[in-house]
Amino acid sequence: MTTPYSTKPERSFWRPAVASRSFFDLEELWHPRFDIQTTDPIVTFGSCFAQHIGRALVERGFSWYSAEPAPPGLSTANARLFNYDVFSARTGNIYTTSMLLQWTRWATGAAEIPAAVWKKDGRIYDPFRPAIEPNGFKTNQEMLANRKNSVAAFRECMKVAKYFVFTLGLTESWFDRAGGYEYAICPGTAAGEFDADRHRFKNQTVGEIQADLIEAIDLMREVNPALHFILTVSPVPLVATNSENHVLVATMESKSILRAVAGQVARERGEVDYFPSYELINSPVIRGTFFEPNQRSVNSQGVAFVMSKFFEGLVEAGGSLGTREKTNPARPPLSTIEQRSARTDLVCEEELLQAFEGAS
Amino acid sequence: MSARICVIGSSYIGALYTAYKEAGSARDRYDVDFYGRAAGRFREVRISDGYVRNARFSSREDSIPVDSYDAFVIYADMPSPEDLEQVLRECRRASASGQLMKALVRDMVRTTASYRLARSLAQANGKPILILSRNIASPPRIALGEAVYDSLVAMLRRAVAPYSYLPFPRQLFTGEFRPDPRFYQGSLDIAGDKAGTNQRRDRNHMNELGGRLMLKAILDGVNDALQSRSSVSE
Repeated sequence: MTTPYSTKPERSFWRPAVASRSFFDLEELWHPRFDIQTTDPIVTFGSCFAQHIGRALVERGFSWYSAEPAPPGLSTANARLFNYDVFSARTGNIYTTSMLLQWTRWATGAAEIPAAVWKKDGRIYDPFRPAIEPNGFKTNQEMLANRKNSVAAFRECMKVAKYFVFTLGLTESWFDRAGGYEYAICPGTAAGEFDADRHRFKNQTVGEIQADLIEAIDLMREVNPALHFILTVSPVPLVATNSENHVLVATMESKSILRAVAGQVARERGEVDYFPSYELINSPVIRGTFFEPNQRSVNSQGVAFVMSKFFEGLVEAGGSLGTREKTNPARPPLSTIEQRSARTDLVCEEELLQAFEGAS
Repeated sequence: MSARICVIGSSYIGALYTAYKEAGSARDRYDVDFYGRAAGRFREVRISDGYVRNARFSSREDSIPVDSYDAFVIYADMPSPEDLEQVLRECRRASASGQLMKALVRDMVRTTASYRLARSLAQANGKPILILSRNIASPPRIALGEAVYDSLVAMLRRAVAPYSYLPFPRQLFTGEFRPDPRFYQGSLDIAGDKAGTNQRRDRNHMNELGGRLMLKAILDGVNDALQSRSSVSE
């Protein structure tokens, strides 16, 4: 008698697909929904981990698109320092789907860009991109004009891209009660001053995160109906939590929520795919191999592993890329770009929270 | 005693060298040696074991150590005020911050072969080093107002420090810092191991008349640098 399981492929069964092989030999973890061509413009945004994806795309000859490139003549070191080509526009990290929606609303004109600023040591910082310039800005006007330019660049990304890769990072978020806008990080950490009456903590729910993500997708597709999305979840644990939970419990809850939302949206929307970077680092099968000794930062081998599975998926999908690259080894040597893009040169505002450890 | 000056440059030195050969009395007070390599390969010129290496053109038949010179002039690939303004306009269009623009100017200057050579010379010999910009094309790509030009020169001075930036003489320009076309008719450059022999028409190289103007500015600049150094040491 046949059952639905009778016709399932090997990858559907734990023993042959997982238990009987090294995790390095895991196969067919991702079946891409789209036939991504190297000529298709791809943009990347999201949490720190998303930075690896943009770099790996460039290294593999894909058309990673930057709407806000570094000025010609700027050294590589300064381009990094000023956060050029970290994401496809100088948005800084977009950790939450509500922040993604916020950027999308600004870029589409659905919401006004607030005039909010933070100050520190006589310099002006952008509450939505607090680490975008190494020492902040000289004046409010300079910062606001610069932010406006990045919003325009974000809009250009929506219009030009065929694929929008977004890495979901956090559920915990900070809002301005009066303005209703969301900060990139808790006020008073990178700059500005914390005011309990004004600043509101929100640990977002599945429903809120999903609604914001869907609204952002819909708004972007109004601008560019051909835009497709690839969602990933950052495998990097929280630096700190403002919830009442232990940071480990808060991390597991947060990542579970994000993972559920990403999967759900990908199931419901034909223009959305999910790539399992979270699983590739965090699954018990991997035994924490890809974390640094602090058990938080993903090591260069982990990044290489994730990115190799990403490109392997594209090749195995058998699209035109697969046909062209079948002769190439799917797993790249660990000495490639992914290894160079080790965690040490990621730009992560969230890590500023580390400074508050033991402060109480 | 005449001051010994070492001029290292790209094809721009063709006009300068020709002017120096015809300079008459200036040659009594300044003994100038020229080393050149056309722009495409100027990056290959270097200071090694105390000598200028890899220059295709040399006004000397023998080589002498860089220690023998009292001052150095580098005239090759340093961005011009016009170059900076073009890039900075793009930055302003993108609402770039002031600190980003400062970093950019510094990067543009410090990645030049001129700046690299200046550093090598400073290590080999503590004598004054003057750096000129590359020529502004005639006609130029953009016009510059007086205040803008002065601020660009000030940026170059800061970025070139600790070496000295020597701006082009004002007589070179007509209004809005457009080089006077009179100085570019019958351009002289260097071709292989010959300098100033290849008279032709292009936008980027000056003629002997322009060379004279530049030579005077350079010799005045060197004189000032040597005098200020001697007054400090006194």
